[in-house]
Formats: sequence, structure tokens, C-alpha cells
Amino acid sequence: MNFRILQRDMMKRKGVNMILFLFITLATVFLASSVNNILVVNSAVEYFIDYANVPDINIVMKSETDTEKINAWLDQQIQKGAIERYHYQALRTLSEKAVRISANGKEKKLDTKGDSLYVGTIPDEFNQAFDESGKRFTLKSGEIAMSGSMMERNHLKLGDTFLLKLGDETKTFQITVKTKDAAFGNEMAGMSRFLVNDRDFRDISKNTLGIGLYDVVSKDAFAFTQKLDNQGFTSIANTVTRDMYRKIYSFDMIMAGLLILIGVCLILIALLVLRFTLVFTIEEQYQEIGILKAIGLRDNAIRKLYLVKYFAIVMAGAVLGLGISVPVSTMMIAGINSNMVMENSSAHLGVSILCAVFVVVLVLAFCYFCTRRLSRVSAITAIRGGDIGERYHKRYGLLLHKRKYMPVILYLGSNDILSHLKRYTVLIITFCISFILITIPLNTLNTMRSDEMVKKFLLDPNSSVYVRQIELESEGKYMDVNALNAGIDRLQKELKAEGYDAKLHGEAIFFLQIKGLDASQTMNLMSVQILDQNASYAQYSSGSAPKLENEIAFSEYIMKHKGWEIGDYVTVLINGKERTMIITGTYSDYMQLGKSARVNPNIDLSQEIMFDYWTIMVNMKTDMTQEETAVKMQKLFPDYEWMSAQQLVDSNIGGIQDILDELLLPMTAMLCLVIMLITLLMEKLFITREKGEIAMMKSIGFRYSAIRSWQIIRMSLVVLTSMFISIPLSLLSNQFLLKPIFAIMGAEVQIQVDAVQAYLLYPAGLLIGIILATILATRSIKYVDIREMNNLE
Amino acid sequence: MMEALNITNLCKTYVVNKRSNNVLRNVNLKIEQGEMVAVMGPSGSGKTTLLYTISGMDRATAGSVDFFGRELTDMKGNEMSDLRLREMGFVFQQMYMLKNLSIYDNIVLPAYQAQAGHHKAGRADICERAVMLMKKLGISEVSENAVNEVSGGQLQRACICRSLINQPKIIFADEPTGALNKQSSGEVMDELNRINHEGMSILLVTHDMKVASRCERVLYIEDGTIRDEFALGKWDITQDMRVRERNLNDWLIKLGW
Repeated sequence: MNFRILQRDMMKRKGVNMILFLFITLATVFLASSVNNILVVNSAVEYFIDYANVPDINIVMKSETDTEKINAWLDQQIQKGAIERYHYQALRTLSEKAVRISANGKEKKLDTKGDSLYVGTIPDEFNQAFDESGKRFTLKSGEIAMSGSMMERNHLKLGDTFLLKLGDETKTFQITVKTKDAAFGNEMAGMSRFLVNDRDFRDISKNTLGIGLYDVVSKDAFAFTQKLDNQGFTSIANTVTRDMYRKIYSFDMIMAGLLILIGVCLILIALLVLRFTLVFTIEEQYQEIGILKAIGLRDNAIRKLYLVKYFAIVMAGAVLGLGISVPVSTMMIAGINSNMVMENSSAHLGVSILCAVFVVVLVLAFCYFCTRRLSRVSAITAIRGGDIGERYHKRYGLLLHKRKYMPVILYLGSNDILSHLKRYTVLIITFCISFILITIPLNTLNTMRSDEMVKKFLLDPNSSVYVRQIELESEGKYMDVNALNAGIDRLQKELKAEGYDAKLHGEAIFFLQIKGLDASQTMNLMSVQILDQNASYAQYSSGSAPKLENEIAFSEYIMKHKGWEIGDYVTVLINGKERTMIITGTYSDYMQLGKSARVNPNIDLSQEIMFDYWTIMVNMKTDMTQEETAVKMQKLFPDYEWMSAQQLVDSNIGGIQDILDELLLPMTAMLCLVIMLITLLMEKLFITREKGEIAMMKSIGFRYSAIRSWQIIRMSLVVLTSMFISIPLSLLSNQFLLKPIFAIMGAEVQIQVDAVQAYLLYPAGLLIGIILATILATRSIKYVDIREMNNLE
Repeated sequence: MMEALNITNLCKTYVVNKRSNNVLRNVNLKIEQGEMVAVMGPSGSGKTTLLYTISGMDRATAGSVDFFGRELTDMKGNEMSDLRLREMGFVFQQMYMLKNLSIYDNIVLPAYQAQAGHHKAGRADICERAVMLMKKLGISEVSENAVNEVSGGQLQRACICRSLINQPKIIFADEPTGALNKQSSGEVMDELNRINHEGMSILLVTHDMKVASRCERVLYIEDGTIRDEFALGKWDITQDMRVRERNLNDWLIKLGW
């Protein structure tokens, strides 16, 4: 009997069953493949870090000046038992300008995405690198190895050429190995390493700046880095612990995390749709249920009849989803495998099966929960034609005879919603989720493109343009602020010669040793010196910008972390002497993930090693936008890198803005499609349920178009209500979802909402999709026979 | 007297699984304005199909239906809908009403729809007429009730009010007392007779001899054709119902009822 009921139900609602099947299939695919991906990444990261022998602490140097002192201190630490041992790897730093690549006969610049470039030899102990098959390799003279991510970004393949300008001559290398490099191969590390053989390295060393890498093995990495910070070694650029590498690689799981979120949303929608379908089916088949009860069937026995159908759909969807998830998981894992050495690079079928079983159990449990409604249907209900004998209950809704102006179809639509609020709430929730989902990337994108974001990167949205990479090949990398100022002066003259009377300001970056007067721990803190007396674009959340020689400002994170307040004094190690400075202000920006200091423009830091300069701001008379100016100046001065403030922000956040921008329309289209499917399904269910009423309206003379309009208006009202409800909910999601995400980068930012775009244009697109789906579904009204009045309860 | 309906050679054929089923075969029928006619016949004889076909709810396969000088079989769907809305009234065996609306709102609904565009003043007139009809049919006290809060008889009277709200030229009733008890049936028929006395044409389909005996003329349909008809004359309260019923019964027995 179960099979016959199943067969009949499957044929009766083909459309509804298909949509449910589709949702279950997709949910299983997303869930199984992304959970698999996360598990594989998790175990692979640990394995890869061990396999490559990444030490507990990597100390990245910016020069070799302190090498002897550091070696002596580290030896002392071994004796004290603070560390087990250490190892020094020689590395040379490369200027972006010195490197060119050649592929398919075309020579071009290397796209570094702002990474620091290093060259070294094949490491034999720590921070090892491997070839694509995960094995160690050797290099001949003239051969170079580089990470897979660098090669992919630059569309390079093995055999392509790498050109390195060393003084007056250019050394040519052939790319022979694509490496899997745990310490330098991940895009989020901000460091890229090229490997050459010993002879080539010696040649390169003659014309490049030597830095180094200390590999330290210590049981307590945190305590060791604290001690190291207190030593005042000015040539240390950065320390990277093993934990930090783990975090860096965990970014590979973001996409999988997003897919899990989509899978969960799909399951939620499938559950909503299921509830809707079940409630409708039970209400529609009350007579059959009542009669089954009248002949003595128990509630559970009747429930089984209904659950069999959903079990069949869910099983079919889960099995198909499981089947599809296998190649999808393999594809996702292949992406990870290209950058990591993995112990086991195959997807876990067991995990996928568990995910599919989870979907089946969850959906069936929900079905079981929803079929509780069956117990409300009694034999008497069936016999009395749906009338349970209850005569008096509160009636909700509007009164037509009291509406003097409201068109009848508008009345019918709004009265339906008000009379059955619970039924329409399911739809409203579904639409609200969709509207909020679309505002999230939109608001993220608008925030990233906002002036506030630009200012958080210490940039001025109102300046004319920005320029980077101003060093000439003969100047090499600027190592102090005097060299930077000289470069700026030279460029200013070059601009003047071309008729541009421009003022240029740089932002020099130093790592200074700073501590509070209470003699607390010393910090090696990134400190920015804005070489402009009137940098009004640099904002302060409290206090004011440091102007006098003894003034300094700190980011909110540092102030909070150290318990400092404006007016407190700190000591800063400058030119080997401790200088006492007063804190004049605090700010919140994204420089060094919100952990930085701003030094006044008047103090002389010319004896300090300048780690880098952030960018150079150009102010001149122009009617063009920053983007237009950047394009124009790039043509006039092709040796330098001209950018708008927005482009600089984008290059710093890894092109997320571009990805989001590209994904926004396909995402909206996909969401629109899902919503249209749901609407189609819901509307079909409405029509099935209301066949009797539709037939009656037709019999008393309502036109087909009027009945259709009633259905369309009702759905439009539901959508409009959802749109209004989703506005405050979206603002809440900005506050509790987007703000914390942006805060990860180190600063609070006001989420930018383009109300017209977020609450009108994009929702209007979804609204049109929903109305189209309703129009499509309501075509079936034409075929409702007047004899269907017999279906009127 | 003017003809309300003139039906000539009306045929209706249903094709199910490539098999034709001729439900109506060359039906010829005339109904005068103000006449109350009952259609009787065994189950499956084509009574309801005849009612649906001549009221435009279903399309005729062949033949013509002249409704106050207009040919219904040539009309398009929307024209038919407008005609049903404005010039015809319907009463069905099951008291079909929109469950979300009150009795009052169900009654005014077709009138509001017919008057779309003529708001305030028009709607006030409609409400006045609805109140008057409800009062006449004795359902004023349940006007604000929901559909499931009234008795079957009250609901059927509400359906009659709805059928009259647009002041139609004819009322089609399909087993109007089929779902009612004896007392409610009597009340509903009293109302239909009263409306008919006011000049309304009524064509009703029934199985009930008591209902048919209240009509002026009774048609007997069998196998899709009108086999015979019996004129009872206009009924009024002074007449002895038992005599009318006996005469009708004799006629029906002759026909093999």
C-alpha cells in the first residue's frame, strides 16, 4: 500500500517534489564537499608544517647588522634552556623593479601583490621547500624555483624565463621547479621566496641586500618572542611563530566555510519548503486522513504513509548529492594539494556519507515533527467535510464592506495574509533571508570602496594621486628617510619638468623599540612617520596628531592592550638613545592589523633603518579623478607605479573587492533563481489548495486576469513586507556580522550602506524575479475547471 | 413575454481517453423572462452539464444559447465572465464561499468587482443593497460572522443574497436545497419563489420533487435529451402543495422516475 501511495503522491506533485529533491541534492553536495575540505585542510596544514620542518619561531631580519649580537644572545638562551637550538639561513632581498619575467616571448613585470621578495638557496634543515610531487629537488646554475601561487598569479609555467637585473647586467634563469613552500608559499604570508643553487646565490649576493632568517626551536614561543622584543635588536623585521603559519593556512578554509554556510541555508530553505508542503498536504487530504483514522489506523501508522514519500525524495537527493560531492571534494582538495604536501590527498568518502546521512536524518526528523499536525485531524473532521463543529473562533483580517477605495484584488491579497499570518510568515522568513544575504556582499563592497576605508589605510581620498616604487635602479631600496626624501625631491622635479607643480609627501615605516615608563615589556612596534606637517587626512578617534618632536600617537589596540592613556609618557629607542615622548592621540586604522604608532613629522629618524615607505601622496591641480590621474601619469612616467587610494586599498586586502565585485551579479542571479524556484513551488501549492475558491470565483464571473492578479498581488505584498522587515535585520547583520569581520583587520569601521542599492535596486531585482515566478505559476489558474468547486472545503 | 433563454440543438461531448461521451444531445429549450423552471432527471442524465453549459461555465460542443438576444456560444472567455458577473446569479448545492471573508463581504464581493473603478458612491449603494437583501432573507444578524459560524440554511440564503447582489436577469441554481434539512429547504425555496414573483427568471436543477413542484414548469432530461416537460403553473401560497406534488409525481412515474 505504501508503494501505491508513494507512486500516486510522486506523480501528483511532480514540480514540488522536483524542487525539494533539488534543494536536498544541492545541500548534500555543499555540506559533504566543504566539510571534507575543512577536515583535509586541517590535517594537511599540520602535516605540511611538520614535513617542511617549519621551526617554532622564524625571525625575519631586515639587515645583517645585528647578526653577531643576536647570535651571542641566542647562544645565551640555549645555555639558559629558553631555546633548544637555532639555525641561520642567509637570504637576499630583491627589489620588485629588478625582476622581470618572460613567457611566450613576452617580457613583463612580476605581479608580487605587494609581497616582500627574497632569494635563497635550497634549505636543508628548516623551512624546506619541495617540488610538485612533494620531494626534495636540486637546481643547476641558471635554474630557479618559485612557489605555485606566484607562478599561478603570473600565469607562468615551467620553462619560462625569470630575469634578474643585478647592477648593470641581467641574469637569466629558467623556471624549472614549482615549489610547495610552507613558510613562503602562502599568499597570506606576505613573503615570497625564490630558490637558486649556491653558485647563483653567491652571484646574486654581490648586488643585493643581505637579510637573514633565524630558525629557532623553543618550547615556549610566546615567552621567547617577548624576551626578544626586550632586547632592542633594531635589525629584526618580524617574528613568525608556527601558530601564525597555522592561522595563515586556515584562510584556505574560508571558501569551504562559505560553502557550508550556503549548504546550511539550503537545508533551512528545504525545511521551510517541506513544512509548507506537509502542512498543505495534510490540510488538503484531511478527508483521507480522517477516514483512515475512522477505520482504526493509529496516528503513527498514518504518519508512516506520509514519511515514506519524503524518505524517498530525501534519500534520492542525498544519494545523488553524495555522488556529486565526490568529484567536487576531489576538485577542492586538488586545489589545496597544489600548494601543500599532503599525507593523504583523497577525499574521505566516510565523511561525505556521514554528511549525507546527517541531511537525511535532519530532514526526516523535521518531517516527523511537522506531521504532528495529523493528530489534529479527526474522523469527525473528515465526515463533516472539514468542519470540526467548532463554530466560534476569532476571525482575523480586513472587512471588505468597510473599504471604500481598496480594489477588490488588493483586498483579497492583503486579507489572505492577515487571515493566515502563520502560513505567510514562512515565506516572509525565506524572502528576508534572501534580501539579507544580498545586502551582505553589497555592504561589504560599499564599505571597502568608501572614503572611510581609504582613511583607515592612512590614505587621503581627496589627494590627486599616489605613487609607489619611485626608486631608480641605481638608488636601490631606500634604507633611510633621507634617501626617501631625496627620491621624493627628484620625482617632484621630474613632475615640474613635465608641467606638474606637485607637492609630494611620503609615509616612512620604521620598527621602533617602545616601552611604557613603568618599564614594562618593550615592543618592536611598526611606527609611521607622515612626512607632512598638515596631514589632516590622518584621523584620530581621540586626542590630536603628534606634531612636536616629543609627541607620539598609538592605535586604539595598543593603548588598550598596554593600558595607556592620552597624556601618558613612553620611551622610544631612537638612534640608540631612549627618548621620552608624550601620547597625544589615539586612532583606529588597518596599518599592521591595527597595531602601530604614529610618530611626529619633526623628529629626526634619519639614522634609523627605514623598513619601507607606505606610499607617496601627490597633490597638484587637476580636475581628474584619482583613477584618471593614475592612468595618465602611468603613461607619462611608466617607471613608477601610479595608483588611486582605492587601488592601494585593494592591493592591500588581496583583491577581495574585485572578487566580490565579480561575484555580486552571479550571486544575485543564483539567489534570484533559488527564490524563483521557492516562489514557484509555494504558488503552485497555494493554487492547489485554493482550486475550489478559484473555481467558485470563476463561476460567479471573476475574470482569469482578476484571479491571477489576486495571486500576484498577494505574493508581491509578501515580498514587500519581507523587504521592509529585512531593512532593520540587515542593519543588525551589519553590526553583528560585518563589523566583527572588518575588525579582524585591526580597526572598527562604519559599515557603508547605499540605501538605494541595498534596499531598492537589488531587492527590486529579486522582487521582479519573484513576480515572474508567480506569473509563471499562476498560468495554471486558466486550467482550473469550475467543477473543482467540489474541492472547496 | 420576452425570452430569457432560447437554446437550440445544444450538444456537449466530453472526450476522455479518446472516447467520446455525448452528455447533451440536441437539447432545445426556451425559458421566458420571469419563469421558474426545474430540470429533473436521473443521475448522470446531464442536468448539471445543461446548467453549466447554458450559463457559460462550460463551452457547448454545438448548438446555440441565446441569452436575452445575445449568443453565448460565440462569446470569448472574458465576455462570458462579465456576463456571469453582471447578469447571472448562481446558487450551488454546496454553499461555496470564500472562507477568509465574512458573510457580508462574500455577498458584496461580486458587486465590488463588477463596479471596479466606481468607488465610494457605488460601494455605498452596494452595501445598502446587501443590507436590504440580508434583511429580506433573514440573515442580518449573522452578516459579520465567518462562513463557518453560520448554519447551512443561513449560508445558502447568504449565497442567494450574493447571487442577487448584481441584480441579475436570471438565477441558475444547482440542487440549491441538496445539502439542507427539510426546514432550511423550505425557507430557501420560499425565498426563491419570492424572488421569482418579483420577476426574476430561475432555472434550477433538482432531484427533490418538493422543490420541483414549486416551479412553473418541470423538464425531464434523460440521456442528454429533454424527454418531456410538465407545466404546473405559477405557484402561490394559496395553492395546495400536495396537489401539485401529486400531479408531478404521476407525471414522473409515467416517465419511469
